[in-house]
Amino acid sequence: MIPGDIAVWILIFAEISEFALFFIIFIVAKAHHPEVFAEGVLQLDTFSGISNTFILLTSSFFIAKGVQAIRLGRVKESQKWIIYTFLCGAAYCCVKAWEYHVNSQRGIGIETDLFFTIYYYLTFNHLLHVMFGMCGLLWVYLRSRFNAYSAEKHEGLEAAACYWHMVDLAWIIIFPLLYVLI
Amino acid sequence: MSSSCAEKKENKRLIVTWLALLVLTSVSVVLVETATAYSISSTVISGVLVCFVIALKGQLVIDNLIGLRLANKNIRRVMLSYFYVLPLLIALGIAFPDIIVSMTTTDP
Repeated sequence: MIPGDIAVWILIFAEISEFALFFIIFIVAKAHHPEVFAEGVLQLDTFSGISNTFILLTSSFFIAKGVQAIRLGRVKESQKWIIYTFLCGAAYCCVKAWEYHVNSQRGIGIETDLFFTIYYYLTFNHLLHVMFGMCGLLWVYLRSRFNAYSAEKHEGLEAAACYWHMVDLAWIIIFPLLYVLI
Repeated sequence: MSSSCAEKKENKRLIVTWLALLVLTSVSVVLVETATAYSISSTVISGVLVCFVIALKGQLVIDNLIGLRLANKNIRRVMLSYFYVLPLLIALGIAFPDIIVSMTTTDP
């Protein structure tokens, strides 16, 4: 049995391969410029990173509850969990916007140094994936409102949930790489 | 097993997984913050431990939140191997940066 459908898993494998490539670039660049990367990590707002980690982990829990509810045929309850997940996504975007704003006030930008070039590429790329995932959540919520999903038929909702979990999984690696490991 | 009993068990598993993920995140941050105050060797050790935490968190999400533990074995294998290989590469990068530099530098 495949959660969602095979198409979403092909998309997920393509997306995580792209992230893997940038993680490897990060590891190599860090080995070549350890001082720049250590300095860069210390300049970032760790609290924003931790907040977004907690938000995304919680959103993954919410969408898992949404899938559990639809499997039991509880459509209304499932819709509630999808909305909670969407709100977590919105909260993530707000924290990220705040973090970029704080960075710019400190004079930090994409061209500050190699660390921040990779930081902005990775985090902005991830932010776009979060927004794409939010569009998916909105779509399955609207479909659910039109009774498209039931206990027997809910592949679309599962596919959106799997994509959302992928966004969380990518952040599980991005967070320690950029905000924690010196 | 009755359906309500199975549902309670599933609920408990999801909540425990979510809490474990939050605790593991906090532990990894405290680990590095504490180690940074000491020496370079403790930074390396804490870095390797953080990589272990990444793998653990990945496995928790893959098995319990996505639910691949009871689903397609091949997809689970690919996803798990991603979360074993990448943290291992990150750990190697932390522990042996010189080797990575020599492997990625062309001789003049």
